[in-house]
Amino acid sequence: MLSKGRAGDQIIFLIVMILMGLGLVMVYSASALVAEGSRYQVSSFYFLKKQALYVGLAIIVLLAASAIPYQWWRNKSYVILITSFILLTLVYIPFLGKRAGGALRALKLAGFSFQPAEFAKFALLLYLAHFLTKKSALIADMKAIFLPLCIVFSISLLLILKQPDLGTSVLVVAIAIAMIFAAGARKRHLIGFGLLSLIVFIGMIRIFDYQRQRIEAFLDPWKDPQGAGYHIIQSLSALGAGGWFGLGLGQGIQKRGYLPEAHTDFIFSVIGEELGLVGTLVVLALFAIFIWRGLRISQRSKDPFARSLALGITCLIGLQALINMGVTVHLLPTKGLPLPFVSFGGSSLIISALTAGILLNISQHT
Amino acid sequence: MAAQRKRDRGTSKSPNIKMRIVFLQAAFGLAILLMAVRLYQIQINQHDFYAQKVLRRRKLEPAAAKGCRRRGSIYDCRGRELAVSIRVNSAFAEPARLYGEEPGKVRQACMVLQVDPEFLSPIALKQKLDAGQDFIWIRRKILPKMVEQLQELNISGIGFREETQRYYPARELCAQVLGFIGVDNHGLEGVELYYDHLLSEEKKSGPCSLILTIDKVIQYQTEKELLAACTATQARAGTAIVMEVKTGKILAMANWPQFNPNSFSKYPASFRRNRCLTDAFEPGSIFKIFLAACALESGKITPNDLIYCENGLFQIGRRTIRDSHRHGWLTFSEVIKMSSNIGSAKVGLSLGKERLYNTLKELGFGSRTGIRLPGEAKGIIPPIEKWTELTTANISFGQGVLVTPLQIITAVCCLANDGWWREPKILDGLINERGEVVELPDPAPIREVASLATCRALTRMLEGVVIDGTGQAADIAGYRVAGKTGTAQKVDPLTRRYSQELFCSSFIGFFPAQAAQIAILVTIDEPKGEHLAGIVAAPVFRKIAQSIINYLNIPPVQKQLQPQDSILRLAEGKEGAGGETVADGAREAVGKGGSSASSSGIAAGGKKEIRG
Repeated sequence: MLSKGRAGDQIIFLIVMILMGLGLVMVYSASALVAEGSRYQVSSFYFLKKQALYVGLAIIVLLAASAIPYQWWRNKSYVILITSFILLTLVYIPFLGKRAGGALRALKLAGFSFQPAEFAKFALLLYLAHFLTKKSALIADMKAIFLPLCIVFSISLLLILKQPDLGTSVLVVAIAIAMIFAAGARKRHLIGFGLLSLIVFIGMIRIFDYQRQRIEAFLDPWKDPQGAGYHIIQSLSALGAGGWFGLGLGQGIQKRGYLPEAHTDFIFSVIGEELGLVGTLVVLALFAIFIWRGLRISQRSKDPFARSLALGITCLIGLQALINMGVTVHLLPTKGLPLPFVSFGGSSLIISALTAGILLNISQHT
Repeated sequence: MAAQRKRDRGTSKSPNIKMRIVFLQAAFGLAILLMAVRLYQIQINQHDFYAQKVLRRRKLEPAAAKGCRRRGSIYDCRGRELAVSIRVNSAFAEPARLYGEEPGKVRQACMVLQVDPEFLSPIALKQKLDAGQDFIWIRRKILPKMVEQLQELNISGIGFREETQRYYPARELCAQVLGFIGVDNHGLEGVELYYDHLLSEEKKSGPCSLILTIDKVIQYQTEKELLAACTATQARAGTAIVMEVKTGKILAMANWPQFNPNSFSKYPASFRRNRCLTDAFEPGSIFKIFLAACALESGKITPNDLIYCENGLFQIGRRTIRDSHRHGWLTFSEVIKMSSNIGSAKVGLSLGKERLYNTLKELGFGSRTGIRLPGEAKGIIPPIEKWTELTTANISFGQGVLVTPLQIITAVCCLANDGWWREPKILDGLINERGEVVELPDPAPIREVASLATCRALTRMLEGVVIDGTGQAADIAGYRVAGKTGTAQKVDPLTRRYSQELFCSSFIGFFPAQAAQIAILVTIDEPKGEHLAGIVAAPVFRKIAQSIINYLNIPPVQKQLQPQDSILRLAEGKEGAGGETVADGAREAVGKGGSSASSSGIAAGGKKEIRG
């Protein structure tokens, strides 16, 4: 970890630890009653125990990644990208997935399943950082950069959309735009790329009816409070009920079956209900500091690959957090993205920890 | 060109990229700021709106209901439960959560709860959701067994809320006094209504429990005897009150017909009202007690004054007053004893209307006794300006006034005691919110109606009624009992005249006469067949009194004298109508423990005759 004789960014490390700790507490609070309910019928500690294991694994991954020199990943970017494609394909092509049942089970480490989409985010991020560095001299050339990029992203997006997981797709594209922008691409190319993505997404929304419903629910959740608008109304109710200091840890009402996905996608609403505005602002501040430190690492890096990778990682964590929070406060339509480090879920936690570890390693070299 | 551009890029790259990262930082900063503002807007500005929405749900949670308070209990004077609140569960549904459940399971739940499955069918649920209902009661106050079965089914969206259920363990016992409560747990009748502010679980400092003056055992005996009499005579209704003479405490207050307050809605209102205080009636001959009190107190008439009873027909104006038996000359004592209407009317007329009116008012007639129970009637004493001679004569033997049973027994207790009128008492004490027993003071004497001497003389006259007058069926061997019968004609609602078939038979009595402890009033409304109070009501009094004597261990006058007492009775029988004074004196002698009962009795009687 201290191979170069320099300490990593301890603030980032501290923030990640605080967020994971808070996540453990909130996951338990949000899931205890649901776990015992008719849907799961398990012990109230079921989700807490699982999450504790994930956190343990995540810390190991974080420490390991921070010890591995970031350059090591650069050579592996192609391998990782192709692996992620294979994983995505294995899972989402139905007849293959069926036949490859054994292969999928092999993914289950110690009984935990793994979401390839989470891994794909990292793989694309890494590839993009490598690609942008390699082609840094040609950054202004549209053909040289955008064509291969578009092909890679199209494949990846299609695979993700097949899930379907619009949230992850939007996130990946947003990260890509940020990275290309920071790498110094021409503005009109970026605008073109952005417009193209927008058209694709609008097309997606048109094609998939459920996406349209989500958008409609976003525009007016009160139109169908028991149907499409249900999630967002319950989330707002939870946050609103919290007030300044919240109802108290464990005292939330909305998690008792009213707020769906309380321990995963809507954990921020539970924080707001139980810990109030003070709690939500603290979480927001932690992510704000993370973003600030992450971008500072990127800014201070002399190595273009490190710069690009740090930026991508910061955007991955920061954007994901902002999108997740934005959904719960009704600034964005429902997406299905977890809150990094906090939400229940092993894949997200471990990938977040992995990227944070890499970020820490980069910080040692600035 | 392209190469040139590339080179330009290359040279200007570093600052450019730094700027771009700064731009990204600014973009993130803006997003975070927007987020913070939005959070403030939801969590602070709109807090009330959402809090009200969400916190409403908290009351549905069983955990929150754990602290639910129970309405105060009602106990009898010895701490036996008359009304208690028990905890029961009510099942409710939250349509939003239930909507996603398997219809089969929901149907099963309906079966368990014995409600129509259509009530919670998906279609019905959808309608309820569209109507904005997020909470519906499926069934209130269900059996514990049902709760268990539902919990086994494990359906999210069906929950339980603990509620309290009022329960009257003694069923009909004392029901009209206790009253009952409605679905919102507020009293609707009786003590439950009158003391709702103390009993209610909504009371800020916590509910109080009440201790009534009612004695469950006496109440039971009273109700038992009243029930037996009323069913035997096929009466329309009946009341009985037992009062502690010295304190005005109501030991029992019984009504017939009865009702069960655990299912009060199944009974008509006429079954549920406490007739003892809501129903004013024409008392008839019982009322002569108060005439006698007035007469004795005036000093104008003594018990031995002779009155001519006109041989059963007495003309006042255009009306004729009749006696059931023809009498010639009677002493005032005998007038009361034989319950002569004509004799009473003549005494009343000689006293004058003012005196009679004032005495009746002082005895509490025409105004509420102030008992702490709802719905008390005032009764009617006609305003004195409207009294004619006929009114005075009628009122003297209890016609033309309306009084409640409670007014009568309260007035009699006043005269049986020390002549001071006191409020009747129903609430003996309470257990406050801290669990401390607070005893309430006995009612203070309010006004003096009659002197002690008057009370003594009156008691002696009333003892005569039981010894050899109309109330002989009320006599209890070994005890001195004073009382008065009343067989009031009722006004036939059809003819608006006094009916020859409809009567209200009543008996008021107290004992032991030398130092009255207990007063009992029995009224039986419209008995079929035999209607004479001495036959219908007096035995009920005796049975109740007997059971109270046993229960309270009231000692007899003198046990060893009981054989002599029965000999005396034989003697009385022989002596007939004229024997009242003799017997009266004899009784007194027995009370004093005199050795030669018969001789002293004659002597006493003789003395009185001289005085008369």
